[in-house]
Amino acid sequence: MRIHSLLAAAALTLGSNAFAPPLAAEELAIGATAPGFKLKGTDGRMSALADFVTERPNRKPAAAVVVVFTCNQCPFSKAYEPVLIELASRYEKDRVRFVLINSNDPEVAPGDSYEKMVELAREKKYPFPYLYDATQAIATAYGAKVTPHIFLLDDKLVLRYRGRINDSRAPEQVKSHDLVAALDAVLAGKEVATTETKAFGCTIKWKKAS
Amino acid sequence: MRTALAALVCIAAWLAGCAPRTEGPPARAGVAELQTAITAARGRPLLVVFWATWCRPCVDEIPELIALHTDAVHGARVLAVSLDGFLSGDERALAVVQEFLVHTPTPYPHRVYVGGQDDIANAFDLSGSIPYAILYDASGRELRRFEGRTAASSVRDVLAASS
Repeated sequence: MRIHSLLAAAALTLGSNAFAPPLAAEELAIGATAPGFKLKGTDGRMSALADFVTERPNRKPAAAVVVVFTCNQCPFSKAYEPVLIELASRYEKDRVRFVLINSNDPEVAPGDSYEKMVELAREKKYPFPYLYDATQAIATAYGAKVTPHIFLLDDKLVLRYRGRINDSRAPEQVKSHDLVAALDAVLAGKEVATTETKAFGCTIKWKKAS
Repeated sequence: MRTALAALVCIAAWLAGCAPRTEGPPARAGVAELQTAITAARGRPLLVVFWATWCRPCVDEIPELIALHTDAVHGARVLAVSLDGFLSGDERALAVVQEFLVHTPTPYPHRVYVGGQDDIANAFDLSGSIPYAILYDASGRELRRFEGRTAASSVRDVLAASS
């Protein structure tokens, strides 16, 4: 059933931008302070990265922030969507905040428009902010290349891990729970053993050069 | 959509004077088997294409790959390596590719990768996105890598420049 859903999604996804050159520079370095952002979310409000680690009257600052570059249609992103929702729920008590960012150009991938983001977040009852990087400046600043692409920040917004969620979407084949291992290390105040992995997925749909 | 693609594939194959029939059934392969297949293909230029059935640009480039595989001028061959197992699992991946090829046959051979992401990513220094292709010359020397869709004309240009 899942495969059929993926194939159906694949028929709608990606598009014809494969010849567009990627604009992103090198991926953000481990140990670097993450570039800030203030982006519009599917709830219509602006969300800033700094807000996640700022003390508020009704909310403690995050112990870690998981920035996920993703999109609406990529079969890889769709396959990992329930995993992200489960992880966000599992780590909520640990004050880990997940924030999803869609940087795809809707001119290239119409299904990745802001309006479609709103529909998806509502339909799937996203427990995390889903933000729209309309200028693609944030994906460029982080060096995001594919969807999903993970950047794990600690409470100082320092990058501690980047790459994939795990090494297979097929549960029986997962040998390396990379994001979970990195999160557990950060929360325990330990060094992350594996700080970088290769993220597989769909290429970010960059704006076509004018 | 699939019908239109199949028609396009047929036209490409017809223009190339070749029946659109897959060269042998797709087979499971780990890194070692892939490297053996690449070595065995020496004697002609070889384009190894990493793809998946769920990847739209991968599917869109199939007519280009057919044109390249059946081009007598440079004699290049294509070897397609499916990474469907990353999503569907190794057990299901072969059946997924087989089903796809029933509707969209190609004249070039297919391998369905089974194994870990790290193993194949490290062995071929993959970028993380597909389609991704590596072009080897007749002696097995790597000539060029293509990220995103590969145009047959680009491959021909590289081969012409290297000969």
